[in-house]
Amino acid sequence: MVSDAALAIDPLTVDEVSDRMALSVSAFEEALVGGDRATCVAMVEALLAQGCAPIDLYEDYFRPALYRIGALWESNRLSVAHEHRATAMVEELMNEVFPRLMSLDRTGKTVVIAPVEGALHQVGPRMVCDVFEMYGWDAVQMGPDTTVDMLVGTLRTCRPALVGLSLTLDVHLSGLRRAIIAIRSAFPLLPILVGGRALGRVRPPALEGFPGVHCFRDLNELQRYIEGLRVLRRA
Amino acid sequence: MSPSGRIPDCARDLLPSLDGLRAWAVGVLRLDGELVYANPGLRALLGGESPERGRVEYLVNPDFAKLVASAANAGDSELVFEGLLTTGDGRYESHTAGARIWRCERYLLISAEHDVEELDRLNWELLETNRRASGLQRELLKKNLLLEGALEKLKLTQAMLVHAEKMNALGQLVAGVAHEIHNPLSLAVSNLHSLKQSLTAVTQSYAELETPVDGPSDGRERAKEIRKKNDLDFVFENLSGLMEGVDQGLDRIAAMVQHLRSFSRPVQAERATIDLGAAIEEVVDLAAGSLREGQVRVAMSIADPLLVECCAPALNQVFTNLVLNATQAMEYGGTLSIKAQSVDDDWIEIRFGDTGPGIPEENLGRIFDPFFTTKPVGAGGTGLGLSLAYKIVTEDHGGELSVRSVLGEGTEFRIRLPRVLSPDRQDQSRSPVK
Repeated sequence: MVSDAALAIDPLTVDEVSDRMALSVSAFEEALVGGDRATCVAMVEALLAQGCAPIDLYEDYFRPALYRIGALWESNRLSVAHEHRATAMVEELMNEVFPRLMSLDRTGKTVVIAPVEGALHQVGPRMVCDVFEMYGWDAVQMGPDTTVDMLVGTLRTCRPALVGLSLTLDVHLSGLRRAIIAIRSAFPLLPILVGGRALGRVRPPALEGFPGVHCFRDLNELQRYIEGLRVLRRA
Repeated sequence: MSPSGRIPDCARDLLPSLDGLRAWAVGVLRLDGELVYANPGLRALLGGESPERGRVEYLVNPDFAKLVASAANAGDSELVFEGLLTTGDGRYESHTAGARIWRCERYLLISAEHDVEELDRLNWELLETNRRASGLQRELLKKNLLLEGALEKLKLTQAMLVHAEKMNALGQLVAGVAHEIHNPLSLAVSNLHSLKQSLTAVTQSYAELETPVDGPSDGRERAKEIRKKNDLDFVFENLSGLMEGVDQGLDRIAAMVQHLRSFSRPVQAERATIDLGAAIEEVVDLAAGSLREGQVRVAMSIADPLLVECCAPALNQVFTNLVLNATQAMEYGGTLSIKAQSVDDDWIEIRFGDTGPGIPEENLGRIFDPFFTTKPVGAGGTGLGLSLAYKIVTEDHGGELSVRSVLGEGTEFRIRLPRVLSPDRQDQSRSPVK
């Protein structure tokens, strides 16, 4: 296990980040694991100042850094406390970025994003919410304690145009099937989006036979999907 | 704190292996209150990392006195306490651990462990609270941004409403004035026409009277005298020029009255869906002469097609006005750039930019005001062109007309129009003249 003291590094200013490094994921990951909020903020500010798009920030820095930290936890080299702190820091950073990505031009459409029952991860679903907010959608994110019944109840209340399910670990595939069956039964035409780390590069066999279920490997694919919806609406 | 020689035999062998532990708190207390040994876990429960800071006063429930009283009734190696042990300074610091305390000769042997399940529950609660707090922060940020956006729109709308109200009041005034001027003007124009004919007749008659074939010579002399005295050669020569001047003046007054009447009444044309790009190109074609004369190059970038429901003649008037204004602004030639494109599904945007000298800041806020003109007197500027354009775009079409100018670089007018007229605009466009 790596101690905080061993991982601590001196905070960098935005200028120092710009001058000293072409920011690497590993440098960002190091600051995250060390709990060095100031350096993380400086790095993010520097990247945004250099013209990095918020979604690229999520895809190219936040996601790989958190995956790597998750792998370190899996191999017992980082404590769960380190992992939780890194997650909380990324959420804070996302809140910093959020005002710069949210569109003021609202579509009036709602999407509900929920983790599959039993899944605890929340950063991925939040990233998905942000992509929708970027295109003027209202994204409702449900917590990790959401049951299928709660999800269906929320869908009845919110009447969203889309629902998104997040799948982080393979063990939750059966939960994903249950959620899809429940949603399909209550809302036969509601498009269901599925994304998350466990999805891999192919549509899982567990999802075969469900029409109107769209799988996304990353935020860029999701972005293209939403842009496609805009084009369709215009046409 | 290292185990010392005072530590009872029953604990001495065990203690060194506990030195590095924090989750399991182990220690030895003498019954007179001296802390003989505490591993890091117990030192944390008793208020300090250093041996001298670990104090029995930190035992809150049960406190040290209760433990000593229980120990007095207990035999050697007998359990004195089992349950949740609370420690702390009674003010800010408080810990709870599941503990067992034995009497061991003249000592109390303490063993306590932190409640792992409780820690897990706390961790989960903390994560959940953090998620909710983060979500709330996100929601607040979003609402704040939307409110700021709404405030900006409100300010803009308020400014437009104030302007519209001003225009409305002015429109009524103008309508009355135009009406009052129109009738005597028509009379004056009509009379001028008769006057011209009469003057021609009088001039010709006088010339004939001056040169009779027969008649007294003193009559002819007298006529010459009168011609000379009153400088009739000059008078007759200038009469037509004077009449022409009056004629032109009345024409200008008539044109202004026409402008005033346009200003004071809503757009009358039927609404129709047209391709604005084609309309703009047509306006530019019509203005080709002026553009050529002013050595103005036109750079057009128009998305195709830009279908908009509108009152086409009124918008053509707006475009013509902006094109001619830009041409006049570029006294020594320049480039007029026209860009028209879709903003989104509901709005389109057209920009007219010139490379003229720009508009001074003190004039920028007034250019849409009626009768405001920077053109010299007599140069044909009524000061109504831009205010009429503003009215047509904002009031009649529910759009926006704004201007941005940099001195020495140029000026750009930006028009935003909804693709579809709202029902109230449609009604307005059909309403009778006020």
